[in-house]
Amino acid sequence: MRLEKLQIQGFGRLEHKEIEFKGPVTVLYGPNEAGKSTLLGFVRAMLFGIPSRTYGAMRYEPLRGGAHGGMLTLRDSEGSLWTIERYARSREGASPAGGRGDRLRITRTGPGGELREPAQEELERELLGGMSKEMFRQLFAISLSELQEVSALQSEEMSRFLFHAGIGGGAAVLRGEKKLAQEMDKLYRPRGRNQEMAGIIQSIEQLERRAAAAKALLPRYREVLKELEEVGADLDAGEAELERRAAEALRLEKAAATRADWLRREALRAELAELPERATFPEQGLSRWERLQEEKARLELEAAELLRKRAVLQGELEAVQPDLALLEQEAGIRSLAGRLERYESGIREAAELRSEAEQLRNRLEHVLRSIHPDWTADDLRAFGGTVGEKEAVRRFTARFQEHDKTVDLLHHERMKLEREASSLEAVHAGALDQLQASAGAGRRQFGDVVPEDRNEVRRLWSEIQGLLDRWRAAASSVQEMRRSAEAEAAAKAHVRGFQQRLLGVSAVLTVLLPILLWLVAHSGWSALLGGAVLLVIDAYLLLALREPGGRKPRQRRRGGRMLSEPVASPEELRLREILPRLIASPLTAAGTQGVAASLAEPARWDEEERALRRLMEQWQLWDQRHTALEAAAADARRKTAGKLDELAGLQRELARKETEFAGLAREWEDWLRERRLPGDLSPEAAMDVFRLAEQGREWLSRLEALSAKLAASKLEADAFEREGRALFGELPEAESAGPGAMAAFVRRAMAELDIQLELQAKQQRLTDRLAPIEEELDRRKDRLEAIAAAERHLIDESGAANGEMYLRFGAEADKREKLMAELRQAELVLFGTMGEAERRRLEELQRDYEEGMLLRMSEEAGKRLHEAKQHRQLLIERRGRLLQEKETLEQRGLEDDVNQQLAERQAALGEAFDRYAVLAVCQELIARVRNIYEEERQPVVLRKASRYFEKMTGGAYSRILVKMGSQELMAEHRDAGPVSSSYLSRGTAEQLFLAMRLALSEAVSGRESLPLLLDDLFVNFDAGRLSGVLSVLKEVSASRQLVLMTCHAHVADGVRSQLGDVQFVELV
Amino acid sequence: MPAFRFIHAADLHLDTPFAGMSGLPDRLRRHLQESTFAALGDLVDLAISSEVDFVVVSGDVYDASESSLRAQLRLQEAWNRLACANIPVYVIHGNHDPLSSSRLRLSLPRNVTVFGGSRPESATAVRRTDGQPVAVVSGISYPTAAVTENTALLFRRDPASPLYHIALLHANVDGQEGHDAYSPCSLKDLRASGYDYWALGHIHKRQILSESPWVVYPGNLQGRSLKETGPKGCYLVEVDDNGETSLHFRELDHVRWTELSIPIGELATEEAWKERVEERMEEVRGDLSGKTGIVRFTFTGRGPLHALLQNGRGGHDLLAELQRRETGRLDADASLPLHSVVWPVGFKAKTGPDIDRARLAEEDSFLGELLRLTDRALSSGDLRDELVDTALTPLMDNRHLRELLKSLGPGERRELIEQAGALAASFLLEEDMRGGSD
Repeated sequence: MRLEKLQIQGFGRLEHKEIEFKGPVTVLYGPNEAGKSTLLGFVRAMLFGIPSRTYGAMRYEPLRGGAHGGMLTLRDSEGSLWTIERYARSREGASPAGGRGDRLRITRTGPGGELREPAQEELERELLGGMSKEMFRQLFAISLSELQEVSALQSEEMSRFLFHAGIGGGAAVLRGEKKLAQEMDKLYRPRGRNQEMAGIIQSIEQLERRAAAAKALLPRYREVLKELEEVGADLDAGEAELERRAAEALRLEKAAATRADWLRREALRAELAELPERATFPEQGLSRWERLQEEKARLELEAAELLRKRAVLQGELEAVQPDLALLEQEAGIRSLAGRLERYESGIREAAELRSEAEQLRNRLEHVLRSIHPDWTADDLRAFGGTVGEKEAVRRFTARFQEHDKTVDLLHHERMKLEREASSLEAVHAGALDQLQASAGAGRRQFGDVVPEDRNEVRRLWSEIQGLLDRWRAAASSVQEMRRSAEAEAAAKAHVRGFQQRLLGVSAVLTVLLPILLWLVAHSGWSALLGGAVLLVIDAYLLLALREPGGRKPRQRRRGGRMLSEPVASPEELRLREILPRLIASPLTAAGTQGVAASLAEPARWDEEERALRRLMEQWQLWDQRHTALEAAAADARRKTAGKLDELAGLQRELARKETEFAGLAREWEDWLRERRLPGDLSPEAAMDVFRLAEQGREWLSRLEALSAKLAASKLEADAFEREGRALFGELPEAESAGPGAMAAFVRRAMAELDIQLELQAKQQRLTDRLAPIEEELDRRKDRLEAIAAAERHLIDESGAANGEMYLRFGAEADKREKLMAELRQAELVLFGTMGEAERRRLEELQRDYEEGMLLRMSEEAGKRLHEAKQHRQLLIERRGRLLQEKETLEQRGLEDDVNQQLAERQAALGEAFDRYAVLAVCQELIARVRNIYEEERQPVVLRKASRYFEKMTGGAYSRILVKMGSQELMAEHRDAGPVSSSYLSRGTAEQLFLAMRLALSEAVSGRESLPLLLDDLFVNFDAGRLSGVLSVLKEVSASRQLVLMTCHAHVADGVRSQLGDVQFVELV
Repeated sequence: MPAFRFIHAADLHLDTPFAGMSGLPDRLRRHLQESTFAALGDLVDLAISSEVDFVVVSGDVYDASESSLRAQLRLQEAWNRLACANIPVYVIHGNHDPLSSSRLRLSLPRNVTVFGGSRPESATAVRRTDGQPVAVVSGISYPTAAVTENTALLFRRDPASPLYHIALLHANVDGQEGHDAYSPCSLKDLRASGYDYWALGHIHKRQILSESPWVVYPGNLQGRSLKETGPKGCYLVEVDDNGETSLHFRELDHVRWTELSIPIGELATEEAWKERVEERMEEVRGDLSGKTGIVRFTFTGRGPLHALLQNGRGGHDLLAELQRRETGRLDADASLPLHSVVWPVGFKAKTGPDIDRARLAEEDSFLGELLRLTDRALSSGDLRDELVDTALTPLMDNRHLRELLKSLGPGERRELIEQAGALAASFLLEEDMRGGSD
C-alpha cells in the first residue's frame, strides 16, 4: 500500500493543504510548527478515525475552526484506489454520516474502474491487515516519543510477533516457572526453616538423636550384664567372708559371756574327783529298798485281816441247814402248782357249759316243731337241705310261674284272634256285595257284547282292531291308485265311503255281541248272572241303536253308489265274519250282510266304528275295575279262612298246657313226699322249711360241740386229782371234801417249798464268800516271799553286808549323781550343740585368756562383722539397681519405635525429595530451553532487528536479545557483551528501538506492506550512526513506502545524498 | 539314608524398620514393627508343629547397624522356645549381622549352633525321633560386614560320609542385581562342592537356582519395603529315605506388600479414578486373608487425568483420604484386627499427558524444543547427570538431601527427567489452552 495524496480540509494548524506522494521515499522538510507531526496525526486519523475530544490535543481540531478533516488517497498492492474522506462531527450539529461520530466516506476504485464503498471495518481488515490503531502508532507512524516507549515493544501483542507462535510470548513459560518456583519454595529452600523438607529433616535429626540414644541401649545393656556378673561374684565372695567373721564374733562373744559358767564347771569337776570309788550301786537302789520295806509291812497287815474274816464266815455257815426231802419233790409240786389255775377254771367252765347245752336243746325243740309236728332231731339230720334240693325247689317255682304266664298269654291271644276273625268275615261279605253290584252294572251297560267270557271279548276286539287297521291301509292304497283318474269330488266320495264302512262294522258288532256275551257266561260265570247281564245289554242295545238305524239306508245308498266297483278285501271278509261274534246289535242281528253293507258304506261305517270303539273302551275300563273287585273279594275270603285256622290251633295249644300243668303238680307232690314233708306245701313254703332246717341243724351241731367240751373238761380234772394223790398220798379225810380240796393242798406245799429254797440259797452264798478269802491269803504269802528275795538281791548287788550298810552306800551314790548332773548342766550352757572342734576352740579360749581380754577381742570381732555386712548390703543394693536398669533397658528396647519412625520420616523426605527433584528438573529444563530460545534460536524478527541494529551501529553491537517473560531488551556489544537497553546511551537505545520497530513492522504487516511515517527520529544520532540508519532505511524503502519528516537540514541532506531517488516536500 | 525334614530360612532382619512409608497410625506402626518378630514366632511354631528335625538360618538374622536390643531379646526368646521343643538350630551370620558386630553376648541355648567365620564348620544333625544321624550341616559366617572372597570354594563334602550334606552360605550367587556382591560365587562353584543342599541367604527374593543339587534362596521372612512384594516365608524341606528332596514353601509374613498398577487410559473423570483406586484396594483387602496389606498404586498410561496426577494435588488428596479412612477404621474399633487393614502407602504417577508427544517433539516451538532437550537428556548419560545435578544443586546444602541425591541411580534420574518433561509439557499446554480461551 502506498499513500498517494493527502487533502487536508482542516486539521490542527493545517488548512486546505494537499500533498501528493511520489516515489518510494518522501521527505517532508519544514521548520518547527510547519505541521509535520500534524500530518502524522492526520494520516492516523484518516485511517482509524479522528480521536474523540477526550484526547484533546491529539484530536487536532482546526485552530481557526471550519471543517475538521480531509481526504486520504491510497493505492493498494492490487492497484485499487482508495479514498477516505473523513470529517469530525461539528461541535454543534449532528454528524452527517459515519461511525464514531465522524463523517466518513470510503470509496474503492478497482483497477478496472469498478467502484465500491467499503465500511471502516473492511478498510481496517483489507488495507491494514487488522492492525490495531495502537500498533500502527507504534510501528508505522512513529514520532520520537513513540520510539522511546519501550513498554510497547514488551506488550503481549508485540511479543506474539517477537517469539514463535504457540508460546504465547513466553508468558506461559514465565508463569510456569513462577509456579514451579512457588511449589519448590514450599518444599525446600536452602537454609530455609519452614519448608516441608526442612521440617522433615528437623524431625529426622531429632529422631536420629533419639535413635543414637536407642543404639546406646545395647552397649549399656551389655555393660549392665557384665557388671551384674561381677557383682554376683563379689557377693558370693563376701558371703563366705561374712560367714567366717560371724562365726568368730559369735565364738568370742560366747566365751566372754560364759566365763562364770566355765568357773563353776571347773569347781564341780574338782568335787567329783574327791568322792571315793565304789562298786556300782544298783540303779535307784535307795528308793527301791524303801518301796520293798513299805510293801512288806502292808502285806502282813492284809494277811491278818483275811484270817479274821474267814473265821466269821465259817461260824455263819454252820447255822444254816435246809430240809432236803422236800426239796427233792420240788419238780412235782411245781408242775401241779402250774396246772392249778387251769384245773380250777375247768371246774367253773363245766358248769357254764351245762346250762348253755340246756338252752340249746330248748331252741332245737322249737325249730323241729315249727317244721313238722312229727319231726325229730334225726329227721332234721336226715334232711339234706343241700344246694341241689334248694335248686330243685327254685326250679319248681320257676316252672309253675312259667306255666301261669304261658296260659295267660294264650288266653289273651285267643281273644284277639276271635276279634280279628269276626272283622275279616265282615270285610269278606262287603267285598262280595261290591262284586255283585259291579257284575250287575256290567251286564246293564254292555248288553250288546256277545261273548260272556271276557277273555273272548278281549281277543276278538284285538283281532278286530288289527283287521280294521289293515283294511283301512288297503282301502287308502286303493284310493291312492284311483286318485289320478278322479277329481276332487272323488276324494270326497271316498271319505263318505269310509264312513259307511264303519257303520257296517258297527252293525256287525251289534249282531255279534249277544253271542259273545253268552259264550262268556257259559265259560266262567253262573248262568243266572250271565242271563241277567245279557238281558240288560240286549235292552240297552235295542234302545241305543234305534236312531242310527233310521239313518242307515241313506248312508248305505250313498256309499253303495260310490263303492260299487271295488271287490271286498280279505280283511273285509274276515271282519264281516268276526264282528257279529263280538257285538249283537238288535238292528244288525238280522245277518252278516248288514255288516257287509255297512262296510260298503264308509260314512256309516265310520260312525259305527267310532261307537264300537267308544263302547269297547268303556268296556275295558269296567273290565279293569271288575277284575280288581274280584281280586279283593278273593283276598278277603282267603284271610278269613286263615284266621279261623289260627284260632283252632290256639285252642289246641291251651288244651295241651292244661295237661302239662297236671303233670307238674304231681311231680312236686312226689318230691315233697320223698322228704317227709306235708304234701300241700307250696314251693315258697318249702323254702321256709329249708331256712328252719338250717337253723335247727346249727343248734344241733353247737349242742354236740358243748357235750364234747364237757367231757374233755371232766377228763382233765380227773387227771389232776390223780397226780395229786400220787404225790401226797391220800389226803386227810377232812380236806378231801369238794373238788377244790386238792387245790388248797397244793398251795400249802408250794409255800413250804419256797422257805426251804431260801435256806439253801443262803448256805450257798456263804460258801461262795469263803473261797476268795482263802485264795487272797495264799497270794499274800507268795508276795511276802518275793519281797524277801528282792531285798537279798539288792544287798548282794551293792556289795554291802546288810541293810544298814546298803543305805550308806546308797547316800554316796546319790551325791555323785547330783554332781554329775550339775556338771552336765554347766557344760550344756557352755557348749550347747557345738561341734567337737568348736568346743575345743572355746575351751582353749577360756583356758588361754582372761576375762577382760576376751571382752576386748569380742568387741573387735563384732566390728569386723558389721563391716562385712555393710559391704554386702552395698553389693545387694547395687545388684538391685543393675537388675532394675536391665529391666528398664529391656522394656525400653521392646517399646522403642524410633527406627520405624525414622524410616517413615526418611520415606517422607524421599517423597518430598522426589517431588522437589521433579520440580527442580522441570525448572531446569524450562530454563535451558528458554536460554536456547533467547540465545541460540532467535526468532526471525529478532534476527532481522539484530541485523538492522548491527548495520545502524556500524557493527558496534552484534545483536539484540530479548529476555523471555520479562521481555527485557538487551544489546550485545561486540566487546562488552549483552547490555540491558536501560543501560544504553540515549542514541543507541533509540537505534535499538528503531531496529526493533522496523523488524516488527515487517513482521506485523500482512499482505499489504504498509508505508512508514517517521517523524524526525534521528535527532540524537551522530553522523556515523545516521548514515547507518539511513542505509538501513534505504534497504527498507525497497519493500515499502517511506515518509520521513524532519526539521533538520543535515538530516534532509543525508537522506537526499544516501537514498538518492527521494521526493522532497518542503512544508512552510 | 534315613528320612528327615528341616526348615530353611534366611534374612530375618529382625526389627529392621519398614522403609518407604510415612504417616502411619501408631497402631499400625506397632503392628509393622512387630511383624518381623511375629514371622519369627510363626517360624518357631511351624518348626514345632511340623516336628522338624532342625532349623537352618542362612544369615542376616538381625541388622547389627540397627543394634536393636529388642531384636536380641526376642531372638533369644525364639531360640529358647526351640530349645524347649528340643529342635536344634544352625545359624550363620551374614553381612548385616557379622561376627565382628557388637552383639549381645547372651548365652545361646544349647540347641543353637553358630558356625564360625574363618572356615566352614560342620555339625552332624540327628533325627529327633530316634537320634540317628541324618545330615551334615556346614556353614560359614561373615567375620566382618563385607566379605568379598568366594567362600563357597572352601566347602568340600566329606567323601567318607554317606549322610545328606547341607551348606549354609550367605552369598550373592552369579552376581544378582540389587544386592551387594558379597561372597560372590557361581552356581558352578556350588555344584562342584558335592553338597546336596545349599541353604543360601542374602537375596531377599525367593528362588530355587538349581534342583540338583538344591540351591535355594528362601527369601526373607517378612517383606519390609516395596522392593519385597508378594508372599514371604521359609521352606520346609523334606528328605526321604532315598535322599529325594521336596520343598514346601510356607508363608510366614504378617504384612504383605503389593504394588498395583492402574492404567488411567480409560478413566475419564476424577470420580472414576477414585472409584477404581478404592475398588482395587478392596480387592487387595479381599485377597489378603489374615495379613495386613500395604499397597502402592502406580498409575500408567496416558489419559485426561494425567495433569491431575502429575501436579500431585489430586493424588495427594485421595491418598490422604484413604489413609485417613484406614486410620479411622483403626481408631474407631480398638479390637479391629490389623490384618484387615490395607494401608495405601503412596501413589506413583507414571502417566503421560493426553497428547501426541511425538508430534509435539517435532514441532518448532518452545515445548518442542523442551521435549527434544528431554529426549537428549534421556539418551545421553552425561547430559542427564549434569542436568539433574545442576537442578538439584540447592539440595547439596543439606546432609540428608545430599545423601538422597547421591543415591539417585541412572534409572531414577531418567525417570526424574521424564516426569519433569511431562510436568513441563502439562504446564505449557495448560497455559496454552488458557491463552487460547482468553
